[in-house]
Amino acid sequence: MNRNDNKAYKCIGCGRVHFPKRTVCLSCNSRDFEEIPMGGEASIVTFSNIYQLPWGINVRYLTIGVAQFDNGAKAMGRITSPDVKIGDRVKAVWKIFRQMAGEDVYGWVFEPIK
Amino acid sequence: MRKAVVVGVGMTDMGRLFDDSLMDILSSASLQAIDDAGINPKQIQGVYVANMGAGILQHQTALASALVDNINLLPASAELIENGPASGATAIKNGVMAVASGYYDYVLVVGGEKMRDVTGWRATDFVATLSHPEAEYPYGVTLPGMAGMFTKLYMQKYGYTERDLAKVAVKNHANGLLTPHAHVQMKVDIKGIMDSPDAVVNNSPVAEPIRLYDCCPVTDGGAALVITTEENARKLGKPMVVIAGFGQATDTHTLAEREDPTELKAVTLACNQAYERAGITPDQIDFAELHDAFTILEIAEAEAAGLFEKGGYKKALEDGELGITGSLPINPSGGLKSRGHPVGATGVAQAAEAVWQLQGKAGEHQVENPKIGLTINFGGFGNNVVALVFRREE
Repeated sequence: MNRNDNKAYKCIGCGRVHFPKRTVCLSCNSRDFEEIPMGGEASIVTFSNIYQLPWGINVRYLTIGVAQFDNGAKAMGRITSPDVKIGDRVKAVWKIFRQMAGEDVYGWVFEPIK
Repeated sequence: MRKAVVVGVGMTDMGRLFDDSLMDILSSASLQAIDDAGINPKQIQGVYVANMGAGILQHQTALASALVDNINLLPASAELIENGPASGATAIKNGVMAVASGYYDYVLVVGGEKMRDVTGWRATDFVATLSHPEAEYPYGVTLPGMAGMFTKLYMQKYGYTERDLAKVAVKNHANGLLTPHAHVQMKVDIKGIMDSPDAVVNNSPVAEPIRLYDCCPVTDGGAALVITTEENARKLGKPMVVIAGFGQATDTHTLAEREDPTELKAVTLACNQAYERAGITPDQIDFAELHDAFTILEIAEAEAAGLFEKGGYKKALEDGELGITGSLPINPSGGLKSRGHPVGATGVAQAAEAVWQLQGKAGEHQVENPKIGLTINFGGFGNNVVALVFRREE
């Protein structure tokens, strides 16, 4: 597992931006990608406050959502506040947000921009 | 190609089967189907076992080899089909191809799942392992969580409300009361889950806007079919219930990568394939067993399958068209919501219900004289979908 990769992958063939990394482009089947940065601001596409969580997560609820990045890619991440709306702008931060089996896990954390 | 006819059906009770092992469940469903077909078990040449969780929940692999040994179908060919929540109908598809192609004359398809061996906490984690291992799972997202995100968008786009979702649950629980083997047999009304002061407790949020009564239960159970040729079915004197068409299609693994996340593309593609193979149009369907793991999925699948325009399910539900006596009964068995969702077995359970309906053997939840039934088995969060069309022929 490659858990510390916050780059987006832009298809050399058609320009489609992918996240996470994949081997073949979803649009044109090209196998060549250019790494481009991902981060900065994004917009909430959808989200849910989740109360029934899986084994290993010991909090009362989590807010998890999908955000549209300005580079064209969309990605899932944890949202730091339950009081968000679809379309809200967030700051997308790539950081360690939990440990699994003692190992640090990196991922997207979306902080609502007031 | 030859026709594939279902001549034997078996189903265990659905629920928390405390005293039965997974092997007991698979064996019971299998033997019921074989006995229902009235064949010598040794005539079965191929065994397709559908299960999603044994490797994780029971720490057991190679289930199919274990099953043919336990119920002595040796030396039949045997294989396990693990295709997430779509395992059941995927196994049926493989059985149909084996019979239709002429390779096998008799096959057994059996699905079984035992999810209540673990806590709900671990069961939720087990099901979440079907999500993307890097881009979804680590965040702690669950299937209800994905359904919550999907529901929010679908409600916004097509004007559904939480009350509409609750009405799906009320309908399916009413149907499940007429289904003897259903998991959750209780009368549910709008007052209890929406309007009373206790509703916030009775029907607490699981993953907003999804509440408890928008979710299927976690179920132990199994179901099985014996499939053979038209000629053999005639010899056995069985009603001619043909698997007239199947379709299967896939979509992106992550929800985020779908261009329009409210579009269940794989459902539409799978259904269109199934209709084309069966030579039908969706308006000829007399009833459907849909994969209502969440209430929104009954709505969105019915619309993606072409049974209604987008947003059109709502009026049909309000008009009572979707009940057992309506013009298009949906989930007359109670669906996953009430009959239960033994995840890898569900596709076979849906098919078993469809066959009983077409044989006229569905009992109290029998639809009046149906000729064509549709099942949709929805894997992942719509990334692998199997549709089956069943037809009663003379």
